[in-house]
Amino acid sequence: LDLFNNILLGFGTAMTLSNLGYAFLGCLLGTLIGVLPGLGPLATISMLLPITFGMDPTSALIMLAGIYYGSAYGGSTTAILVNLPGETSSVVTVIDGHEMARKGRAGVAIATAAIGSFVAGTVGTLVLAAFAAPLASLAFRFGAADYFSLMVLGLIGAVSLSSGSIGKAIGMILIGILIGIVGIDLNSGVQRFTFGVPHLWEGFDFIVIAVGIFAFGEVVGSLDHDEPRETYTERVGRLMPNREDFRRMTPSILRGTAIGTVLGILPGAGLSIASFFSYSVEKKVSRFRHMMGKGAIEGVAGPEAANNAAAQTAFIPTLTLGIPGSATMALMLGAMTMHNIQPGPQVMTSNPQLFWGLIASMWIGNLMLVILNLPLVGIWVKLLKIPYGVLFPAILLFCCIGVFASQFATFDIYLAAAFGAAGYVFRKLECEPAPLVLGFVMGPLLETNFRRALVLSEGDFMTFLKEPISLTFLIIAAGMVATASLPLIRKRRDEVLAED
Amino acid sequence: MNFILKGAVALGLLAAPAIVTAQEYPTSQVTVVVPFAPGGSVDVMGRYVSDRLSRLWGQAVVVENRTGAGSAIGSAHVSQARPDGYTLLVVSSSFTTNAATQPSLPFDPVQDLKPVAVIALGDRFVSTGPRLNIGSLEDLVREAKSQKIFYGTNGVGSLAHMTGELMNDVLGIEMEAVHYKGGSEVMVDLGGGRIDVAFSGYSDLASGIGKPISVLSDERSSVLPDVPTVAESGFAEVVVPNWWGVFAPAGVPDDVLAKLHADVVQVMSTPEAVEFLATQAAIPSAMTTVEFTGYVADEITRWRGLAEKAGMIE
Repeated sequence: LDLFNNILLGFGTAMTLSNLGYAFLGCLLGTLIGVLPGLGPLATISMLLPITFGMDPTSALIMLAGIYYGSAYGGSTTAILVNLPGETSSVVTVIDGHEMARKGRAGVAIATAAIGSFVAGTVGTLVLAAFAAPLASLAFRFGAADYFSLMVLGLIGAVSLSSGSIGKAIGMILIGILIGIVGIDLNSGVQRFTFGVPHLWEGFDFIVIAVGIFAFGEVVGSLDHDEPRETYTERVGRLMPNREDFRRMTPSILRGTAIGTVLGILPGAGLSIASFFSYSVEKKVSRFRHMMGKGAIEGVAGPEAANNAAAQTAFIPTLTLGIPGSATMALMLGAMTMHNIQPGPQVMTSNPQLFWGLIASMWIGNLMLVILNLPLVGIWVKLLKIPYGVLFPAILLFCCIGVFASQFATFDIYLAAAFGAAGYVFRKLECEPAPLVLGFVMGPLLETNFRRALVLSEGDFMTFLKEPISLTFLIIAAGMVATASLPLIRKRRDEVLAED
Repeated sequence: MNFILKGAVALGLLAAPAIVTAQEYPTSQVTVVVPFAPGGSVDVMGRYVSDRLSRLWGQAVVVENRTGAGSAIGSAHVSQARPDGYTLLVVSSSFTTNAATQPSLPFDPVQDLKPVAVIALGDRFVSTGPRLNIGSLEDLVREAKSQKIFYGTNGVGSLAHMTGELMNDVLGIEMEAVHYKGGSEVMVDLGGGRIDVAFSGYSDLASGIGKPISVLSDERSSVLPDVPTVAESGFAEVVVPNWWGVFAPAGVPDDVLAKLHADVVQVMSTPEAVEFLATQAAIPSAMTTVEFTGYVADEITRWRGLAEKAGMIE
């Protein structure tokens, strides 16, 4: 009953005209920056933060939160239409989403992403409202050994992100891990591969890698073959999913939501890892897994649901413990501090209007995003008809602005160009970039948690098997390797027998 | 004729900033560089002081987060800016630990930047996790002699790392450092009982994670008056408060420095500012520019000595 009253209080706060307006403004801005490649929620929120000083703190947070989860929505649109992840969390949406667009199903793909995000957002918000306090302790349960094993599992799953050669996928993961190693080593303070350039002390920025390998690589790659895009832009079929599509997307959305909800709570995981995991899971358990990578709706529905569920539950440690799971969440905490609200478990009791108002506004925002996005599908799809000569320079420009805005460094634009060249080579070699990005994200987490776990256990490698959570992940990982290699072994035995 | 006149006026305008006097400063937008990501304590302090200075001056004061390389990118940027008071830097005590431990900084932390004014002094606390059920620094010394104690840091050479090594040195114990990417990661593992000790500002304690057993200041904190100071336990040498301060490129004219110092002190000591600082367990400081400059130099020397002794730098 308490929950009911709280939710009523929340809706009362969120439904005022001005707060509805701020939620809408945030969602709209979020969608826009999500659609624009390179420009992410972090840069946008930090630019807008000073403007919110004069505002009521609840309205300010409602707007900033709208930008945050709105960008998770918008990021999928660019991924599907032009093969560029607008946000880091939509890197895997590219794989099947763009294939769907090539088959004339861009509208269905965008609509699926919007519906999946809405369902996940609703569940995520409900979990946040009902279980925020008890779930917060989940963040404490995960230690270094557990994160290490989670990353092992993730990297093994990453192989499944490639629809081509397994060897190439493993190679790309390893390259990604190596790129992730650049910078000052956390444990020793030693600089690795920085060549004395201070800009590399903290390693490469995710945006630089994503923009370089995906956006620049894609633009350059499409220039040298004139496989006319008209082949698939002309046959933009139905915009909305049909009954069969709904039947197929539903289980994927539910699985994605569950994965995203859990991973969102963990401060060491986050949106992109949630969508990576969801894709791997779909590839293992979906009835249509044989079609994954060739334009399967599951490959869009699952990851998009996962990243949006994670976007909502990431507020759990932030709001209840004052522990931000990501740079963007740290910014939200900073916004609260600026407004003289001390983040922490007492926010729920000291500022109930803010806490519940924010939660209610998140659900309203998700609803707005669906209403905003579904009618826009037709307009987005028309973007495909813009000629290369206009679209590509525009994409390059927005990418450069986005890369520059993240750190105000022209050096980052040169870096992105260098990664663009690498991205082009990868295309020519038919190496898919998604596993590389995953290696880049998870590699450093794998290493720091591995070493931290060993420091804490005083060098005892058994710590990875002694911790129950860690052990569970390792067993699942071993199982995945076994099931993947069994057919290979059997095949080889058959070959040997045939030779006899 | 008219053309020449216009030219002369334009030249005069171009030359104007060179003869700016303190009464006129600032006549245009001032940029405040925060060399850290938005949302952190330096950013919060930097934005607060910028906003209040902007109101006082009637000029835009724009905060730029120039992150990267710890805080070296933003600091180097300001060190190369024109020394006219229109580009300023806000940093915290980590400026001195970085200066002491980071090799090959792209600027000279003593020669290239001029400490101007302290925005605030903040309390820092020693807190312990649930695995250690202790209530004082004396208990910590006793426990550390009978079992392995881990403390969390925000990275090699960070203020927390320095504090931990300083405590090891002064208290004669051997706690082991575990490095994390940021203060919130430290608090998660403190709450989970994987590490035992954290050194942090008040904002990290507000969540209720960690039990503060001692305050690393000369006096007790107004927010947690029951927590004794390190000096009360007999370890006055481990006083390591946090500070946030405004720096300018070396060579800023004295009149601009004086006005900047006076204005920062003024906006940070209003009742409203004092109330804001109290929520961060911080207080304003009237330290003069000369005192602040000496303090920064002393801190760099202190940390450099400790880093050498603890084997953090060669």
